[in-house]
Amino acid sequence: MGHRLTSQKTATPLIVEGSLLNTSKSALAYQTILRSAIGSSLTTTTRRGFFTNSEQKEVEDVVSFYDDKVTQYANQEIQTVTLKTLLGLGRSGTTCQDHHQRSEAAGDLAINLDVARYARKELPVRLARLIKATQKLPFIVGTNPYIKRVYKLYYDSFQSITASPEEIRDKDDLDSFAALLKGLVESHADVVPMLSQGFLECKKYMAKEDIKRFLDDMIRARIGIRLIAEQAISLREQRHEHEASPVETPHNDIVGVVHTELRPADLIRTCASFVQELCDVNYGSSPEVVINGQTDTTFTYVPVHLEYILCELLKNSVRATVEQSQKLGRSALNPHGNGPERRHQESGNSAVIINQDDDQDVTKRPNEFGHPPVEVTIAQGDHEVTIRIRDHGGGISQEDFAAVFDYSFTTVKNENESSGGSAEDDSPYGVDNIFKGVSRLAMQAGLGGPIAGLGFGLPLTRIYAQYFGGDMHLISLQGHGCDVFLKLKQIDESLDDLQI
Amino acid sequence: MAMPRLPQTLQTSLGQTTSRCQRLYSSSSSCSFSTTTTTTAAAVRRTPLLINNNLKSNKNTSALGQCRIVTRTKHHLTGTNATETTTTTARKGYSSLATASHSHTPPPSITNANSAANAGRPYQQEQQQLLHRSKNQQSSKPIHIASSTFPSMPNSNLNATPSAAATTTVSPQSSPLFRMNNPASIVKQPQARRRYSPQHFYQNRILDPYVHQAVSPITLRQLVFFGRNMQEDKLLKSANYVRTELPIRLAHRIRDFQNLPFIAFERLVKIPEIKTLEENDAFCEMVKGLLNDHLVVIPQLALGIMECSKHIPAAQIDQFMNKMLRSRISRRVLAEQHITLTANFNSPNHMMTDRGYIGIIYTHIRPKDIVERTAALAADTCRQASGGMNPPKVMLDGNIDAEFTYIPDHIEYILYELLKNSMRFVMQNGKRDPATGDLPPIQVTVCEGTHEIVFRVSDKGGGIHPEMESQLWSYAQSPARFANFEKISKMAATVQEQVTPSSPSSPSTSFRESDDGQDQDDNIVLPPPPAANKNSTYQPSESTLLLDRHAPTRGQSSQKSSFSTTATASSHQQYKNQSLHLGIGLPMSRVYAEYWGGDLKVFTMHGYGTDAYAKFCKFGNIYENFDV
Repeated sequence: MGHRLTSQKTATPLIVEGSLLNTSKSALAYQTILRSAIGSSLTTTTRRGFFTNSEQKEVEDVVSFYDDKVTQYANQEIQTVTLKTLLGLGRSGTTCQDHHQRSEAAGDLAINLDVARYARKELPVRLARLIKATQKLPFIVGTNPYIKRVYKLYYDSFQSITASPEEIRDKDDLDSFAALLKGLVESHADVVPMLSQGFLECKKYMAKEDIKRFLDDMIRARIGIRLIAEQAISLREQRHEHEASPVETPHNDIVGVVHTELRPADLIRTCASFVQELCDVNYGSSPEVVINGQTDTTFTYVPVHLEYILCELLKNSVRATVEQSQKLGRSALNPHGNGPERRHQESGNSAVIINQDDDQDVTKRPNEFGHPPVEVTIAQGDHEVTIRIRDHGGGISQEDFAAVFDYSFTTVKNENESSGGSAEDDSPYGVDNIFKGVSRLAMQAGLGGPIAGLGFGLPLTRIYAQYFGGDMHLISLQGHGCDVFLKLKQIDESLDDLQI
Repeated sequence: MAMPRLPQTLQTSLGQTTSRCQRLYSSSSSCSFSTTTTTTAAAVRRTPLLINNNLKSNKNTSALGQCRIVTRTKHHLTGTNATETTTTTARKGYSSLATASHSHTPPPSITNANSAANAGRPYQQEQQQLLHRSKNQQSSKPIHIASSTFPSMPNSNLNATPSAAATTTVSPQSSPLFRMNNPASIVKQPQARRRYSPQHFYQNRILDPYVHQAVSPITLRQLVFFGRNMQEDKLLKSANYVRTELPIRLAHRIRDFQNLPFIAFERLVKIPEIKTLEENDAFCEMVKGLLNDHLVVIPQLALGIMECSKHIPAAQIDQFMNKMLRSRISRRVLAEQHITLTANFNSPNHMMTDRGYIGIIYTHIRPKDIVERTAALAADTCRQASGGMNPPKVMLDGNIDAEFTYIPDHIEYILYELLKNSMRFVMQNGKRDPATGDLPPIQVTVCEGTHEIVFRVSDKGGGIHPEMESQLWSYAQSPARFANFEKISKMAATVQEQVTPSSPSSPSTSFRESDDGQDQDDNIVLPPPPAANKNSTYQPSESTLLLDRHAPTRGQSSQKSSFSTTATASSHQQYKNQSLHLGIGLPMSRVYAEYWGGDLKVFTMHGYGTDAYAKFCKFGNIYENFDV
C-alpha cells in the first residue's frame, strides 16, 4: 500500500480503519485514495479464499504458546499518557494558543524522541494485553482463520517491536523505529473487518454480550495503540518537513495526528461530498447536506476520528433519506410523495404557525430528486462541540432500535453466505450492508470498493466518539427521521487529565 | 410545632398568613385530616432541626412522621447525630402514642378485604380476555402514594410560638371551601369528629391485609373500554374498584414509609361496599375532598427536599421523589377517572356526551390541537412573565393530524412545560433575525410511529450549560431551585393551575410575592411580573366556592377532565405568578411521560439550542408504571 504516502506533502496520512485523511486534499483525490486504500482491504476481508497456503502455514507455525514474554509484558501496568505529552507540550511548556511555538515544538527532536521512547516502551505492553485477551477466547474461536490472523498480526507486531533496539538515542534510531511502526500500522489496517468477520462466524460459540465486550475492549485498546504509534510516526515526518523547509510553517495547527484548529464544517463538507458520491453511484441520486449553526467553530481534535464518525453517520442518514424517498414515492415532481397533505397556514391562535410547506425552509426543501436534505448543525459550547445530524429518513422502528448499537454482521453474511438482499431490509442500520451494492458496482468499475472498510456502523462510531470523553446519542422518530447528537470534548481543554 | 429556624421568605410573610392560619385552626378541629400532608412535608423539611425540639405527647403523630422519615431517608448516613437522636424521639413518640390512644375499630379480616378487593376490580375483569392477563396479579408491586396522609394533628395543639405555628399551616384548607368539601357529614365517620384521630402503633394490623394485596395496575385502554357506555352497574363497579384499590395503594405506600398517615386511609377503609348511586355520590365527595387536601403535597415535599438535600444523597432523594410523584399520579388517575365518570353519568344528557371523552381520557387527541392550546398558554405565560415581550413563534410540522388516546392533562402538562422552557431560553438567549427582528422560532415536529407518538420541541435558545445539564432531572442537586415553593402551598401539577384564569374576577392568590428574584438558578432572569397580583391574601372567590363538581348543568364543553379542572381551581390562583420558576417541571414531566410507558428526553447543544423529545404510547396498552 505504498500509495498511501505518495501524495503526502503537508499533513501526515493517517489510517483509521482503512480510511485515509488528508483534509487539505481536494475531495476527489481524497476519495480516490480512500477507495483504493480500502479496496484492497475489502478484497482481503470479504473473500473466503483469504489466506494463501503459505500464510496459512505461517499462522500455524506461530509458537506463541511457549512464549512467556507476552505474559511478562502483559503483566506490566499500562502507562497512561496524557495527550499533552503526545503533543510535546509538557516539555516545551507552550500553551495551546501559541501556534508558532508549538510548531517548533513539533519539529523538536527532543520531543520526538520522548514520544518515540514512550511508544517503544508502551506499545509492547499494550500489544501483549491484546494478545492475552485473544488467548483467553474459547479455543474454538481462536481457531477461526480470521481471528487467528488477527492474533498473528498482533503477535508479530509485538515480536518486532520487542526485537527492535530498546534505546532510541538519536535521529537514526528514531527513523528506523518510525519506519517499523509505519509498517505495523499499515499491516493492521484490516484488523477490524477481520475481527468482524471472525466473530460473525463464531457467533454460535460465544455469548453475544461476551463478543460485544471483547470487541469493544479490543477496539478501544486498538485506538489507543494506533494513536500512540501514529503520533510517533507523524511527528517524525513533520520534523522531516520542517528540516526540509524550515522557513515555511504552513501547518502550525497540526501536531502529529492532532489538529488544533479543526473546522468541523470543512470536514463535514468533505465527508458529505464523499458520501453523496457513493450514494449517487448506488441509488442514482442523493440528498443535499445542509450545514448550519456555528459553522465557523474550530476546536482541537484528532481529525481522522471525526472523519470516520462523520462519514459513518452521514452515510446512514443519506441512505435512509433516499430509501425513504423510494418508499414514499418522493420525486422531483412530487416532493412529498404519498405523505399527508402539506399546508402552510397561520393556526387559529397566533402562537403557532403550521408550517408544512417545505420550500420555505432551507433545512427541509427537497432537492431536484425530491430528497429532503440532511441537516447538520454545529454548536460550540463552553466545554464541547456538538454536532447534530438530522435526516428525514423515516427513523428506525422500535424493534430495530434496540439492536442499533450491536455489532451486527449481516452484510458480510449476505456477501458470503446468503447473498440475498432480504436481511438488508430488515436492519437498515446494520453494519456494512449500507452500500453493499456500491462496493460491488465500484469493484466492477475498477474504482475499488470503499464501503467495507468504513462499514462497522454505529458501535464503532460510538467508541470513537467516546474516546476523548465525548458521546453520541441517536434518537429515532419513527415515520420521520433520526437525530444524532455527537458531543465532542475539546481535547485541549482537558489536556492535562486526558489519558489515553 | 416548634419551628427552630424559619426561612427568610416565610418569616417575612408571616404577617399575611396569620389570618389564614387562624381560620385553619378553627376548621382543623372538625376535620382533623385536613392538615395531613402539610405535616408530612413539614416533617421532611424539618428533619435536621428536629433534634432540639421539645416534643410533647399531644403532637406525637407529627413527631412520629418526622422521625420515621428521618430514619427512613437517612439510614444510609452513618454516624450522624441527627439520626440517632431522632430515632430516640420516634420511640418516645410511639410509646406515648400507645398510651394516648383509646379505641379503634378492629381491623377487617384479611379474607374480607381480599374478597372485597377482587369483587371490585372491574377494569381488569373487563379486559381480562383481551389481554390474557390474570386478574390477581401475583407480582406485588409496592405502591408508594405520594400524597401521603400523615397522621395529622391539629396544629393548634403544638407548643409553638404563634409565628412558627402560623408557618406550619401555610395550608390549603381554608375553612369555608374545605367544609364544603368535607365529606364527614356524608360518610359516617365518628373518628373524624375527634379532635385528632386516636391511633397507635398496634393499629398497624389494620394496614397489613391491604399491604398483602397486590396492586392491580390498569392500562389506559382498559379505562377507555370500561368508561364507554356507562351504566349504573358499571359505575358502581368503578366506585368499588376505586374504593378497594385506593386503600391498597395507600397501604403499600404507607408500608413503605413505615408510618401511618392514617386518616385518609382509615376513611377509605371504612366505607362499605357501594351499592347505590347515592352512596357513590357521597363516596365521590369524599374522594374529592381527599384529593383536594393532597394538593399541598408537591410544594411541601419540594421544600422538604430542599432542606434535606445537604443530608441525603441526591440520587436517593431523586428516586424517592420519583416514586412519590408516580404513585401520586396513580391514585389521582383512579380517583379522578371515577369522579368524572360519576359526574358525567349524573349529567342529564350523559347519553349524548360521549364525544371522545371517557372520564378524564380523551380518545381523539390531535397533536395540532394540543400543541396549539399549550403553545398559546405558554406564550401567555412568557409574555406576562417578561412584561409584555413577545415570545417566539411556534412552528408546527410533521404528522399533526394523527389521533391517539391519552389523558390530555398529562400531555398538556409536559408540552406546556417544554414550550415554556424553550420560550424562556429563546427570549433570553435567542439571536434575533437581523432583518425582521424576530426571535428564532421554536420548531415542534410531531412524528407518528407504529407504537408511539413523539413530539420534538426544538429551540435555538442557546442550549444548557453542561453543569446545568447534569442536574436537569434531579430534584436534589440544585436544591435552591425549589426555593419558590415557599410561595405556593398547593400544586396539582396540571397546566390549568399554572395559567391565569380567563376571568379576571378571581385574581386571588395565597402565596406571598417575593421581590428577591428567585429565578437565578437557571440564569433565567425575566422582568418581574405585573404588580397586579401583589400581596393579595387568600380570599376564596365566589367562583371557586360555587363550582359544583358534578353539577348536571355543566356544559358539555367542560366535561373534559371536569374534576381536575375544578380541583385546581383553587390552586391555580395561588400559583399563577408566571415568574415562579419551580424547578420541578422537567422531572415532573418525565414522571408523567413515563407513567403510561412513554418517555421524555432532552438533548442540548450548548451554544445553540435544545431539543426535547416527548414520546407517548399511542395505544394505551401499557400498564401503569409506578415502580422505579
